[in-house]
Amino acid sequence: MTDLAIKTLKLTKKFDGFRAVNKLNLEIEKGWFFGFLGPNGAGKTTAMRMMTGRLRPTEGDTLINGTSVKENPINVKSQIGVLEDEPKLYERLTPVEFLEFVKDIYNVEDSNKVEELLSLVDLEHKRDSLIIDLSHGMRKKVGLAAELIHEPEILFLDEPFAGIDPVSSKAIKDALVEMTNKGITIFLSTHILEVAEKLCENVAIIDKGEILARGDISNLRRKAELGERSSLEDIFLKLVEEAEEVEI
Amino acid sequence: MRAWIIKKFLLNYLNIYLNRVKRERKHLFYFILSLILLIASIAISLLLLNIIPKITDIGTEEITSTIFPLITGLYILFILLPITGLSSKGEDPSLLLKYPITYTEAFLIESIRSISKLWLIAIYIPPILSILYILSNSFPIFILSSIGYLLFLFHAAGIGYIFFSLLQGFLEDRKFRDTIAIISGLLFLGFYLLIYLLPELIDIEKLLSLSYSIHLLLPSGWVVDLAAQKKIFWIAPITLITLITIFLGKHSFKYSYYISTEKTGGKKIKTSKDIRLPIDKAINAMLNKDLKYYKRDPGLKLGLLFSMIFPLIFGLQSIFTEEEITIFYLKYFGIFAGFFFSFSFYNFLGYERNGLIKLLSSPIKRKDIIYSKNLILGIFFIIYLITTLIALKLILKTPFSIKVITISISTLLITFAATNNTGVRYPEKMPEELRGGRNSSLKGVIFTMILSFILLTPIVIHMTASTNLIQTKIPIPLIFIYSILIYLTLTKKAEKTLKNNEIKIIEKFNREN
Repeated sequence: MTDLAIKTLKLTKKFDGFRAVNKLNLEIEKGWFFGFLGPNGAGKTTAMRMMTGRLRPTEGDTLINGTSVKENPINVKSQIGVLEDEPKLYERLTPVEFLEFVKDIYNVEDSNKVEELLSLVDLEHKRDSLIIDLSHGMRKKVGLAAELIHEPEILFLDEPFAGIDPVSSKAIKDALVEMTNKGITIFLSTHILEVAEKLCENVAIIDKGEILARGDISNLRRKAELGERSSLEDIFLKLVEEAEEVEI
Repeated sequence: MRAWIIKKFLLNYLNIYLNRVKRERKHLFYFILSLILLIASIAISLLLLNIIPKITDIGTEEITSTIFPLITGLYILFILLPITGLSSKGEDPSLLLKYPITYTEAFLIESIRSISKLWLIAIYIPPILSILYILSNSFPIFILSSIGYLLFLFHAAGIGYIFFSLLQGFLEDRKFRDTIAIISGLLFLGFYLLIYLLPELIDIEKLLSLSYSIHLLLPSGWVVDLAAQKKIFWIAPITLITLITIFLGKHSFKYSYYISTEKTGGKKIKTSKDIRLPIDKAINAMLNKDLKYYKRDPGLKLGLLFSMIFPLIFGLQSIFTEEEITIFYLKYFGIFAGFFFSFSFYNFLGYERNGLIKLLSSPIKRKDIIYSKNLILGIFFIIYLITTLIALKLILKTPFSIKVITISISTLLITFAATNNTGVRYPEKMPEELRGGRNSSLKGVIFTMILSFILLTPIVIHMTASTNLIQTKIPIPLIFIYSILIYLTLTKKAEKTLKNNEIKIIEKFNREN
């Protein structure tokens, strides 16, 4: 039994000769709240899509709980939940209908699950409206609830709090932290550093498809040669700037 | 600054179009098609210029009574296109009004953009100008009537946008758009029926002469009268109405902008209880999801209606023609119905839209996706088939034939086998709302047709047996066994292809966001 929830093996993606992600090697332990940080276009979404079997890597592979995404994608899909920035939903269903549908295709037995999740994302009042008519933030909440329904062992989240109101955001953050306490691994891809600083115990900073630094915040402070009181934003800016200077 | 923005918009429009043509094969195909249409249109116009003056039987009145409905048709087209949502989403006026330009300028840009489409130019510029030339008989009158015609085109496009802007609050309502999508589809079918029914019901010649007598009530009639009767004063009202259009356009755009910025919340809808069949949970879930989609999604509803109505239209067509053809039709109803029903759904994965990514990201068995899709259509088909056969028995006194049912189901299974395979190979994501046209995979259509026709050979042999060409009749039970074997073998192959292709499909659907 491996203690690693996610392990990427030289994960690489080239688009027309351009390397969006270059030989990414990451090791994420079970139960971590892991932050994957980077500026826009750094390769975060591309890397996440490859890790979750939604994009073919040019080279490399990902192991999810020791299972290869390339070799056994369906097995991997039953262990993970993936919320993309734009959630992929059946828009002509209501939130309740959609969650019931997802519950059935994942073969979940718990009959209270849908109601619990609706309450968590504060969507009970929109339970009978069509998803197509809901706002972006509400759709995102439906998407998040759908990814939690089968209680995945690893949850991949791409900018999950963008467009969500502060009250719901707080409830969801608390629920996510609670999940990591139960041993669930969360992979959070974001460029909102305050969120990552509050929630993540371990982070990796990616820019131009390559990892600039990884570890806990104190490790990153040392790497960036910054003082004890420096924030994740200071560390991030320094590391990205240094990387750009090296390139010049 | 404003002049710069306007220039940018018009040039950008051109650049975006040309870049699309360069980058995407689909757009290149439509561009080439439009160019061919334009060349053909110019050729036809030159031909008209040569031929019409030589035909002594055709007088000015005949030409006028033909050209007037044509130009009026353009008028109606320009009004209907933005309302039905069949013109692209990029033409939504509110998108343009986010930039620092005046309402008048925005209105002018939109109107120019809408009349500058290549295919539209091909249809409505060269032939009409050539006919105006023939009618005017002198160069100055031709120049004047051409200016009048171009002003009229501008006015027509503007009127379309005024209607769109004024009705925007209503038009942007999703329910309304869904209904319009269904109505547009049914009108298309109705048009086909009208071709057969109209000559029976209406005296066309009388209608044309009537339309000519009322033509002066519409700007399209003024343009025709300017050229045909050389009444140059018509240029004044044409110019005036164009100026009025610009004035009204400015105000309607202003109104439209405020409407488009208002937000609409999701209203509650009536939901019903799910049906639970004694089958796999995932297939049950897919069935219930699809049932709701057939009820709520105009794209799917329209596809289903088309596949039900098309075989009947062929029947009606034959009823209005010859009795022999009616008998021929009844004999082949099984093949028609089975083929149309499943063929309309060759893009069954594309209809899942963004939901397909969620579906393929779940551990659902891939064969369950395919079987559930076939099952729901199969259920609809059986209901349709039995209802139609009972109706035919009651109306046309035909026997209720088990043979027709067997042939229909065999055809359905064989076409399913074909569509299952092409559907997983060439899925094309359908737009969430029927706006800006619908996507369809040309490759998918062609391969489904070829594969279906090849696989349907034994059924065709059975139907055409006892003729001079083929003597041996394949027995119906053998055809039925053949169709089941073909269905099971090819569906297993489709499942394998889906498994191999699914990541490619997810990538494709993600790209088309």
